[in-house]
Amino acid sequence: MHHANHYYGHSHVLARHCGLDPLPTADRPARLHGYLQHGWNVGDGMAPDHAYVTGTPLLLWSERTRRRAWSMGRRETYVVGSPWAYLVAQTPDSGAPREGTIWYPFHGWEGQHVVGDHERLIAEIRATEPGPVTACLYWQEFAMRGVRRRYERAGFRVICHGHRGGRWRDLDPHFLDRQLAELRRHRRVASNRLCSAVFYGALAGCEPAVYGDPMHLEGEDMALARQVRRRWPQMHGAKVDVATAYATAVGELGADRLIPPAEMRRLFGWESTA
Amino acid sequence: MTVQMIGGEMLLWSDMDDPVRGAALAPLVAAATGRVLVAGPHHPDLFGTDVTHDFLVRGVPDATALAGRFGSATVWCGGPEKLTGRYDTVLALDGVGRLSSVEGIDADVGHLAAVLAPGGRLMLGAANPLGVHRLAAAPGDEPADARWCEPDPVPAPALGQSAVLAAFPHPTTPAVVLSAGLLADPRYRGFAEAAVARAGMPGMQVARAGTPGMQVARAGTPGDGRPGDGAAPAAVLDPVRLAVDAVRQGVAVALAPGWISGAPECCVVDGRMLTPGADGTWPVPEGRTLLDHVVAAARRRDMPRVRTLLTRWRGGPAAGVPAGQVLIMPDDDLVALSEPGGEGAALMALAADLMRGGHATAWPAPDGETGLARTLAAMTGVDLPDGALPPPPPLAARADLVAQGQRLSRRVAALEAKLAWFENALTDRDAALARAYQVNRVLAGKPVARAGAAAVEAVRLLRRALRRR
Repeated sequence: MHHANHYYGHSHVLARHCGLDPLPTADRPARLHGYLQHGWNVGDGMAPDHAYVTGTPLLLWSERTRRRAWSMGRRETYVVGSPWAYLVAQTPDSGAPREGTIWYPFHGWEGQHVVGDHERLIAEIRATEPGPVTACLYWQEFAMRGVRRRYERAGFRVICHGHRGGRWRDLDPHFLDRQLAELRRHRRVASNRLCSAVFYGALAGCEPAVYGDPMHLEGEDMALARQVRRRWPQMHGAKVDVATAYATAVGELGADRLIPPAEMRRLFGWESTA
Repeated sequence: MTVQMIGGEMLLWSDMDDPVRGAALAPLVAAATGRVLVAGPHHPDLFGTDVTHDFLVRGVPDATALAGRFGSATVWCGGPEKLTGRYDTVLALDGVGRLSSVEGIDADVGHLAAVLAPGGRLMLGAANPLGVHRLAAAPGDEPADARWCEPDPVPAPALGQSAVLAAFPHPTTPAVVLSAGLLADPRYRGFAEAAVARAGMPGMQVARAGTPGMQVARAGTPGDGRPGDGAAPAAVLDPVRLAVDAVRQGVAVALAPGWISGAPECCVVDGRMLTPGADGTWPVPEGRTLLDHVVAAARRRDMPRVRTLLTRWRGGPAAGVPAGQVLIMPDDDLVALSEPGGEGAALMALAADLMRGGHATAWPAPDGETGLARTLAAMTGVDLPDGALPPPPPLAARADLVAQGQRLSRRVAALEAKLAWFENALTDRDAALARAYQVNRVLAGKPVARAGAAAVEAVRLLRRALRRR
């Protein structure tokens, strides 16, 4: 029902879970009945700028998000778990040694701009992280030569997971596979804002951390960001309790709420394609 | 034996078109001891042909029929105030409402108590004006011929007494009686819920209980909560769901369709009489029903728990047994309280229970009961194709019709919204296609494209020529 269902190869990961044959390709994603949550958020799980069709289900990552969505008037909701949680379950960890930290500076999305002091952030990262640092930039920042050079000059390895795709173009069925491979190379995952990537890393076995200048989007109301810090204190700080953080990630990513392939095929309208 | 006319007898009257009967009564009748009076219209099949009891009825045709059937019995015909005997047991399972003759005085319990021998037992039935069969019933029934006056209802027995028996699903046709003592014990809640569900709808339970020789009760008038023979359900609410809910909420005795007092403390379920042990325990399985567990999990939106419950059900020996007839015992074992009736039917019944009970909001916009049943199967990892399920059970109540109408309205609104979205999407894609065609046309006119097309044509001609050789 919405092109955002295919962001980051989400629908492709779920098609693998469902055993669709043939598997959907980048230019032929599997249309699914419903709106798939595509990022961790503290609202109803959906992007605020999308239009939704009445009666079409919201397919949410976690029970907490579903409760929140219900309280906001959303009725057709169902917890299916995050695509990331399915991917982690699908892809056994090789157990290869991990080293250093993968650091995700807070970023805006298409059309948004981040305001903040990258130099100060870099200094804080260098003072905190004991090992080598990989800075993973969103494609917008990665394309800004000035921003990229700053992180490179700091001695960081600078990478980008790629485009998430949009409006059925530039879809990348293996976006998350690459992200998982990167995360599993690192011992720690960190960011200056609690975000999907930090939870992803925690679920993938990294020690998570959230610290440093949180930066902000142009015109952003920071009350929400402060609420996030109050609500998930266990995820904030340069050093957090790993077991607690892992349990939090399991809940937020719905890794405890994965649904069987038959149920997903039925919900998504994929019964005839299995 | 001839009939003894004692005064007040009604020459042309019969109560035997609707006597008190029901599978639950035969064991109670058999428990009568000593000299026994059967007062009021009791179905003859409740007694053996060699019965030596005394019978009291008000209609001459009924008295004559009883005398013809029971050669060793004494049949009195007339009003109870004329009785003079002394009895160790008086059976009045129909209550006292149909003892009074138009010719005599209004009968009450005192008339029966007067003929009890010292220490005798009066087994008395009573209809509950606030029973679930009445709460569920549509108003507006026509007064029957038998209601030439409306005597005061028999006072409710002291409901706290464990010897009071709650009768389901109808005071005249109880298929199940449950002791107030058992109903008050939360350990047996699942067993009791399953029993009243099995007792079914008023008017249908006789056939379901399968007591040999008893007729299937006919469909009654709308006013008594029994199913009518029209397309629309007779009841306003589903009396079975109401009865099960009453058990679950611990108010089953207060809301039972009927009571029987004066009987030994017992339950009669599936025609079997059960009595408590000396320690107060009952010889029945403990636990809550699978249906109760599924509903509770769905209400909490604990869908992993729903999946676990459904998977255990469908993968175990209770597969195909309706969820309301499966108990999860304290040791977590599943036990079936009725025979399996087919997996598809059991799934469909569960879907109907969830939807009609208002518990389907845990699932996103299921397309009806069949759709929900297929989703429930999918939650256990099973793809059920179209046509693998029987049709949903018929609606039991008019309230279900209203809810179904509301659900369909929401579904139509959702489909209309989706249709509008498809229209927009189609318009967007038409525009994108037109742009693509236009680009193609422009590109086709370029020299490179023309040269390419000429090369393709040349290759085609060459291949054709080679094939001809």
